[in-house]
Amino acid sequence: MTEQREYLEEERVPEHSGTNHSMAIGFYISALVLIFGITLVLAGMLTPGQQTEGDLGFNVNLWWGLVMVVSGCVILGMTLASPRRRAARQAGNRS
Amino acid sequence: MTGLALLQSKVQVNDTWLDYFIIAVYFVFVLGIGAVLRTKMQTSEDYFLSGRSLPSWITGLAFLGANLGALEIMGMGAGAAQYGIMQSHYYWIGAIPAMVFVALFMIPFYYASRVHSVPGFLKLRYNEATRGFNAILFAIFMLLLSGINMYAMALVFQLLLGWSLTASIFLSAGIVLGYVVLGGLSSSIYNEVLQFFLITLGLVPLVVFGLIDVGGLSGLKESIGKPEFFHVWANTGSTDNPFAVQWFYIVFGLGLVQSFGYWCTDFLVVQRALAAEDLAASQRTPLIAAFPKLMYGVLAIFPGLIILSILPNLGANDPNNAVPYAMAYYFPTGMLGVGLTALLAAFMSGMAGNVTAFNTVWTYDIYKPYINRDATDRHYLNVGRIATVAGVALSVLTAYLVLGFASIIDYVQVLHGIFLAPLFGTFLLGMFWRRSTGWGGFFGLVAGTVTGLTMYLISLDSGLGASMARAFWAWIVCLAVTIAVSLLTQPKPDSELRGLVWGLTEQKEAKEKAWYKKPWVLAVTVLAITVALNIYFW
Repeated sequence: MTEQREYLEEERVPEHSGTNHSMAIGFYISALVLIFGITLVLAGMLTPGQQTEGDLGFNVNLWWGLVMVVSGCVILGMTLASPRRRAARQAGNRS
Repeated sequence: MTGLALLQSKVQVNDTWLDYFIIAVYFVFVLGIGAVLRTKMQTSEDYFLSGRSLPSWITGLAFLGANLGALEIMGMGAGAAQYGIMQSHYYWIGAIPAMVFVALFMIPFYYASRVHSVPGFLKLRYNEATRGFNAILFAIFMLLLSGINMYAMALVFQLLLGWSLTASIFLSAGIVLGYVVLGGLSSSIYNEVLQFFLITLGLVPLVVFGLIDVGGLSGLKESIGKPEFFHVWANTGSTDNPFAVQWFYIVFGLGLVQSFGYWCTDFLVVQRALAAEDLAASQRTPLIAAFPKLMYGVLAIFPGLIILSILPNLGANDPNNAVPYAMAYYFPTGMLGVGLTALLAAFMSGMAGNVTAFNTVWTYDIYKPYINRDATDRHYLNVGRIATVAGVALSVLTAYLVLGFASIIDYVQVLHGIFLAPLFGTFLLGMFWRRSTGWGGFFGLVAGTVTGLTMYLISLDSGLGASMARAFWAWIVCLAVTIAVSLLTQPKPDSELRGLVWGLTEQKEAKEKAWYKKPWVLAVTVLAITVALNIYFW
């Protein structure tokens, strides 16, 4: 971790307004994926048996909705746990 | 037309309010983030490069997101329906080696010289005429590409809403314009990363469910009944293969010229790497993008094959709709909304990318040097916005050009062969041969472009094999003319070439301590997987 910080300081270009973009992007994406996932899960539970020509015999909305909810949680978790966020928090505590 | 109607009657689109709700949520997100970010964008540097502050996983996914436009999703699916699994050459040999090359060799150059655009590099390395010629070509190229995204988006609306193509095109134009005016472009990196996830989450179930339905790879082969559609290299010793082209043009026309030309010089993509926080992260950007790119060789190709098992004649009749039809066939309402959102996201961000590139080139490489040299930063920002609106309007016209081609992918490859292949020759010599001169570069680029265009106009053959061959010859002519003219003209002094030519550039060594982040580790890994995939699907 310390090694990485040193390296970043050395090569860093002047900071712009975009410094916190990486966290914001993580939240943005996980929010949308979670909303889509939850919508699909609800649709799957409330209106089961939706027919399509290529009916596969299982509840597509429910299962893929669950996959999306899990994906959204993983992206959110990675964003929250990212070293950058921790570093930012540490810097915030110090000042 | 009856054939087409028959085709469509087999795939009904059962969309409900739920799908519209999902699409609406997506637009609220995209426009919302654009509005929030717009207030934070102060300088034009911010606007175009996001302040060079992003970590490599974000720039890597954005790099790929910028590449995954209509071409990648609907175009590759269409190509698979026309040509079979050979289409994945565009992902494997036609992308991975070039992405590795960009990471290892091109990014340090771009990073050190801090050019805004390819024309910027051409001016420093060659001369004003080369830069000007390329800037104008590039602006045209971007408008033509943007029309493809517009057309693809219109096809989805046509399918979804049942409107005419023209009405759908105008709806798409309105949406894209609204997106841009409300600040969508300022969030293009956000949306490119988002789009990567949406497309993945939309295409994976399509491939998985489709393969379950047809009984796996072997079931798919049986139900399509075209064994040649399942080989990437078989029979490329002759032209008796779906591309109707020999291995030589696949390797050199596609793998070398078209692919390197695209990845090295399409700065819409390169720009994403330059937005990374430091040199090491910039270098890593294309390599990080290369891994999902490999996977898309399956994800984007298979829907086009799977739908052939249901609509066997799609490849000849209406290949552009392969992926939307596959979605309509397998996805119930709800999932359908997610899948269509993924497509719309791709077209939206693809078009946003084209339009951003158009406005950058117009503003910095045409307007600023030739029309109004000394204006304020704010003035150029406004010019960029006006260029964006004009770009969308012109894209409506170019969208109709696509109708003249068998499929989107055919059209795109015609454009790549003419616009990118000669440019790659100019680049290669500029970077690696210090003897090449300003006028050498100019005449080489003009000769190469004219060659590509003439070969196309004579044959009017827009098949993929023809495009590969055309790209190769346009490149060769560009190289030959550049070398010949360079030898007849005065070379530039070394002092002017510093930072522009390999060997005269003090490149900073990107220090990267973690072994798994080292560029060559990533490069070797991704190349090894590429070879393995080619062997598996030989």
